[in-house]
Amino acid sequence: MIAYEKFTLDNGLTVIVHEDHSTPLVALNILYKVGARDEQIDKTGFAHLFEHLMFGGSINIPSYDEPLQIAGGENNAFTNNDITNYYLTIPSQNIETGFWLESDRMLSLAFSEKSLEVQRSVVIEEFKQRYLNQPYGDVWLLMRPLAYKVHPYRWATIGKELAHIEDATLEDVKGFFKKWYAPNNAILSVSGDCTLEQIKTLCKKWFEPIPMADVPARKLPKEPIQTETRIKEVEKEVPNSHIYMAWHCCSRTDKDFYATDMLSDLLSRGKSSRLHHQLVKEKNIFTEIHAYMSGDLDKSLFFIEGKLVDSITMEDAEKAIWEELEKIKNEIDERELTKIKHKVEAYLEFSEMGIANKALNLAYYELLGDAAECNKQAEYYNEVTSDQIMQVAKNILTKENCSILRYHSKK
Amino acid sequence: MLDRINPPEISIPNAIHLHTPQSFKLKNGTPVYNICEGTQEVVKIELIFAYASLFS
Repeated sequence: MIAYEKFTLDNGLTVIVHEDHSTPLVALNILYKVGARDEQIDKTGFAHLFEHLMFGGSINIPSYDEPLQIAGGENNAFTNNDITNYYLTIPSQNIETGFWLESDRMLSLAFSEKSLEVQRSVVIEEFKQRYLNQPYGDVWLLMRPLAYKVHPYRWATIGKELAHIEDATLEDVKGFFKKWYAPNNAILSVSGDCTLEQIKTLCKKWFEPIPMADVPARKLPKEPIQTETRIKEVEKEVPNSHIYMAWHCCSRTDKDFYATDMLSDLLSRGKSSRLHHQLVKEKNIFTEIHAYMSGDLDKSLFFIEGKLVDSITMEDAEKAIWEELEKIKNEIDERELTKIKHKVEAYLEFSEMGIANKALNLAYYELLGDAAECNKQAEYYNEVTSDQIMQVAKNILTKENCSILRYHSKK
Repeated sequence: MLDRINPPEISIPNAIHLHTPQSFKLKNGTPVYNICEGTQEVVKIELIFAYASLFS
């Protein structure tokens, strides 16, 4: 249970405060409601490029990291399809340094050709290092456009192709900032050794003078229903063959989310889970296998990915997965479900350890609709029945809804 | 006018005050140290045995 208070500034910035005086530290989390899904098709990778640019100096502060480190703080950020999230942790007596830094880069960045060139090079290297040069690194570059044909989830956060980053201009990034980086498109959550009154005072001083912006209404194309199996085969210099299977499923805010997430847990959470027990331990078809859902804000994907034992063919591996999926559509043992519910409850509790995690959780559930939902998750998972999970399995785990990437090892 | 150019004053703590653990001994002599803090319904237990070898 995370106790919190919430208020909104005149400029539309939502602020959430959780007091935890266990240690003399405080965490600031700023979630901007912009991600890779908000990019144009010919300018992909911009949300992530922008995350990097946010560390290249703001309008009044040439270096973000140096003053933060002098004050004893540390920070990082991440971008995904839906959001860009920045967070820092700092000794509580220096909390104002965090407000100074974060408010200045919300106000405006110090846009320059030099800063853009530096961050563009960093992102291009990241693209090459993590997605092009690493074994299996291109999986999501291949899988996303196979599963999505219309929706912007069809490109990865890093971008569709290197050229989009290489060709990014100063005008492009200025336009992106102006469009999305505004107080009325962000959620600030503060967790740790602070008080509500203190945060209200600091917010009024540092964030309230920032003007709100006309944030565009999101009009994303709806992905049409998939009607036949899609298969892509690739052969690469990788140690083992892998299979990746993706099915369209519900969004994070859909009522079926909890049953869908538990379906993935039943299949692969822990060594006694279905896929691991049957296909790794008993049948020795895979050396590892995982199931999970992406849990995006728009319609998501349900994934199964497995690493094949050398002697097993792709066809046999795929057949074995389908056999297990047919089983779970028709029978779920109550004991098995109870075990998963316990695991989920433990996972949720552990995800609330640490002030930075709590700040992120509060901001994320506020994004979903209400920060209070953060404290109801265990209850929602606990209410899921085996019938609901089997129904979800029947609805989504069909051949016509499936996209398969057969990733062969060139041996 | 708000000064956004100069950083707010910072201070370095003279000392860090961590919570003092409660301690007691079991009947068999095992010392137990207990730290109650935070609000999460999570407990971490660590057992430390006074035995180790680099080469075992």
